[in-house]
Amino acid sequence: MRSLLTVEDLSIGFGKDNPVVQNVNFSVCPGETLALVGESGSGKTISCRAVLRILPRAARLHSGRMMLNGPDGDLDLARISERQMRRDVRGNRIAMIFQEPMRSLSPLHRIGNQVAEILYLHGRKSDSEIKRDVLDCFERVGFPDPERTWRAYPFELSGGMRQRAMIAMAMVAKPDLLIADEPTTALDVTTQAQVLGLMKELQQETGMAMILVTHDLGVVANMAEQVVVMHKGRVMESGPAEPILRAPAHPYTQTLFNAAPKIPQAICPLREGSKDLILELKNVTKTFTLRSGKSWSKPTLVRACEAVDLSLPRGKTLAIVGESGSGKTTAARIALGAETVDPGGEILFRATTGGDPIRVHELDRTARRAFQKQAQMVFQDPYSSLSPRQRILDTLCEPLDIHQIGNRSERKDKAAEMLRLVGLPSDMLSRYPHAFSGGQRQRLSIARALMLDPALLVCDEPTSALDVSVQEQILTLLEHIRDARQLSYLFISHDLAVVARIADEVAVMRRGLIVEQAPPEVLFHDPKHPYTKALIAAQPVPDVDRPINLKLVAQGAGAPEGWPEAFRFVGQDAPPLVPLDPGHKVRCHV
Amino acid sequence: MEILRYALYRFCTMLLTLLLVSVLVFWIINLPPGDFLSNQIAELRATGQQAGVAKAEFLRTEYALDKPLWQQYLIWMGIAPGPHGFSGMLQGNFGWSFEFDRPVSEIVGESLWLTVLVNLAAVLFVYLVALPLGVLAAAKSRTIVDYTAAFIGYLGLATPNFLLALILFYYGHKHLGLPIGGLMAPEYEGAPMSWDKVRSILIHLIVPTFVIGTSGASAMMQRLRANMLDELGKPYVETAVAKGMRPARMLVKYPLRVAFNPFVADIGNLLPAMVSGSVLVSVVLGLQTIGPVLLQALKSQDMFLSGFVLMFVALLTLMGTMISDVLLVLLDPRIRYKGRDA
Repeated sequence: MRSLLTVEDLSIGFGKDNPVVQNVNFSVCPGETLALVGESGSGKTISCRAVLRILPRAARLHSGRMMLNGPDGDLDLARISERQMRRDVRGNRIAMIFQEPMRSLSPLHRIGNQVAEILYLHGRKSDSEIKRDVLDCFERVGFPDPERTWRAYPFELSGGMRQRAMIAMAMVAKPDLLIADEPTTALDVTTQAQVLGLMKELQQETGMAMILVTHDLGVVANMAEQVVVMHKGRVMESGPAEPILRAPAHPYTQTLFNAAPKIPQAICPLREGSKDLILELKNVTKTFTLRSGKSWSKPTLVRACEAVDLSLPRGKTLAIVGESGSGKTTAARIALGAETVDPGGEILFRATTGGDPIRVHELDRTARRAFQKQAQMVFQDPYSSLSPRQRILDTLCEPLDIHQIGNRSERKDKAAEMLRLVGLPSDMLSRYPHAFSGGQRQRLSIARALMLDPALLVCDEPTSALDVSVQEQILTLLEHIRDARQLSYLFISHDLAVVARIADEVAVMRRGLIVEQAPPEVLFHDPKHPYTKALIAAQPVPDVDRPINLKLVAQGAGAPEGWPEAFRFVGQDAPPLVPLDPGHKVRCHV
Repeated sequence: MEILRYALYRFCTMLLTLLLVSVLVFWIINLPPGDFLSNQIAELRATGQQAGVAKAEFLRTEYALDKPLWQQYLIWMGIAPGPHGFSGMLQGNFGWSFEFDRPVSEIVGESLWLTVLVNLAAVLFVYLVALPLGVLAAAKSRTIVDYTAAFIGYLGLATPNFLLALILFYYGHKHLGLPIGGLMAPEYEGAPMSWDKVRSILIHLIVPTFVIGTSGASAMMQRLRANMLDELGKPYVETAVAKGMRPARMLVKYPLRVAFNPFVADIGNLLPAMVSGSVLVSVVLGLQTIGPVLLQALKSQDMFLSGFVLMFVALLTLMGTMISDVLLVLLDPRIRYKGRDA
């Protein structure tokens, strides 16, 4: 088949530095999906943006031909005028979807206005025709009430719905090629599965070509026919997806594969539950009051956590898994005493074996300080959780400073020791955070949390901002430290594969409720609850023989009214969490 | 309808605030020991002018200055009856200026409207100049356009206003035949409104508008440029470009709309700053605005006059903030639907 877009010898650089993209070639045929795979800094995003010539201003196209073939002749996108690019290509023949649906739509304009704009820019249709086309498109991408969507502002939609609006915007002009730059990275896993499914359907209907930029080999396995693996601006390996995914030839592709966390295959025998608990949450409920804009109407109550019972044995890792809005982060904050609980809930913390429990929910100021020494947190975003104006030494010593431990040289020694522990040379103490990469920063963040020799670490999505290969290293580091220092982790994540790797016990949360709880081996191979099944089914795996089962996803991720009989409930009327087998609890009617 | 209700609500809170401000204003202008009349009486006694003393004593009782302060306040506001019944701010009687020996309303009458006029012209000038220049500087950042705009801007900020006024007067008169000083030709002062008078005022407005507006415009331009640069880096701008929009249209429709909010919020600060900030300019340019009057009144403890002017400035401020609040709600749906379920 004649290819739609052929990119040859593409090189892009910033100023006089070495090019960030070097001699890249790829091509895509109509109806086909090409995946550009790589980690951050691989040049995959720059390469696909070069096609539309929407590069950062400092970037220069050093060389390259980008031939877009069409019925009325071929266009070299690198050579045509800006005017022709604007009029004939952008939005018209090639449309683009961006990574962050939250920020890729203007907050001040209605969705209908933003989507219809493409048709106004590229067609000569009447207002009513345009509106009809847009409403049809809204319906096609899955908006239940297109008229309402037409009038809505982006902030009134959830993340998944915004990405659907973006897809509608891209699709409404019926482009020949859709470029999707990490279209589902910012979405929850069940939403991701549904959005990917939608993109595939639309592609089959319209026969358009697609370039999918992603870091996730699982997404590639589900979507792509052709793969280009990039690393540091160069193509490492390219070709049809299936052979590459089955037997990657290039060592870098192999590294990527090995780093991708996988849900384990083997079922291990159940382990004995330990009685030495470091942390217990008993009947913890947290209600937030949403004040409505109108002072006279009643405020809405939101249950972030409902009757949560969790216990964390010493030296183990308890993971809470859930999508956004599940209440997992609230649970973590409650465990640290950073959030009050509704009356009746108890949080007990035992710093040492057999010691008197600290009642975290009713701490006074001095007791809180003592507790904070024992329980520390590792945050999600290593870029914003370190002060850019403080040297690493100051950042690391600050906890000691606050708790008045040691003198200057002792603090410095401790900081150097912690840096070595997390695998960084101790002569880096006098640097500022900007000198470190994302993975190194997360190491620093862990080092800071360890400065007070805590017994409990609460890790809130510590690897979700990192590349897969770096994620792998950080998880290894966390495991190593846990075993070396007898730490206990409360681990918050949305990623089942990460959890499968590090946790001893997993609790799945949905809308404030724990729906299922078990050790990972049991949970992943004998999931009972439809929501757990949906989460597992939605997880894209880098295996062409195991595509995402959209039916399972749709059923479990939907409203509780649509679940099978045993799990179904309406409103607040959830069934209790019952132990089916020893160590395996499921929320169901028995 | 929501918006009307909100506007009404803001109007009510504005009136309440204004009442509070009136207490503060009255208290503050009475803080210095003595008042205009007691100072005058002491001076007249020292020079032995008994007739003058009698007149001053008469004025003291006439304006209830011999009463306790809180009663004076109530009488001044028109909430309590004075020696001549209810006659205060609420009734539209702004009191007597001892310094000028005329009713306050007569002194400020025309200059009040001229002040509003001059400042409106200056505000318009600020927005008309700063908006396009700021957007242009951001869109062409780090090019010769940007640097030139910044240079002119800093020049505007750094040049003292009165100096700029003198320079403009000199060259304006020499080359363009612009009038020097005042807000209208002398023959129209006190004359009833006519087309010729309006024309005269407009011609006289040119230099003052420019002088008062320049520094504000350059400050706003720099801030708009910074705001726009922040917005230009955001993904929704990229989305707009990828749609195939022309750059100029894209700039105005998307980033400018977002970057513009702080400037709407600024209206509240702009109005009062211009009244008190343009005193020096008004003196130099010979503008019959309220600024110089305020200065004079404060210096001589002419309490009713300064009280009125301060209240007027407060009213301008509050109206400015109210207008900007209502405008923001109109402009930004995120504020409008605050609390509505997303």
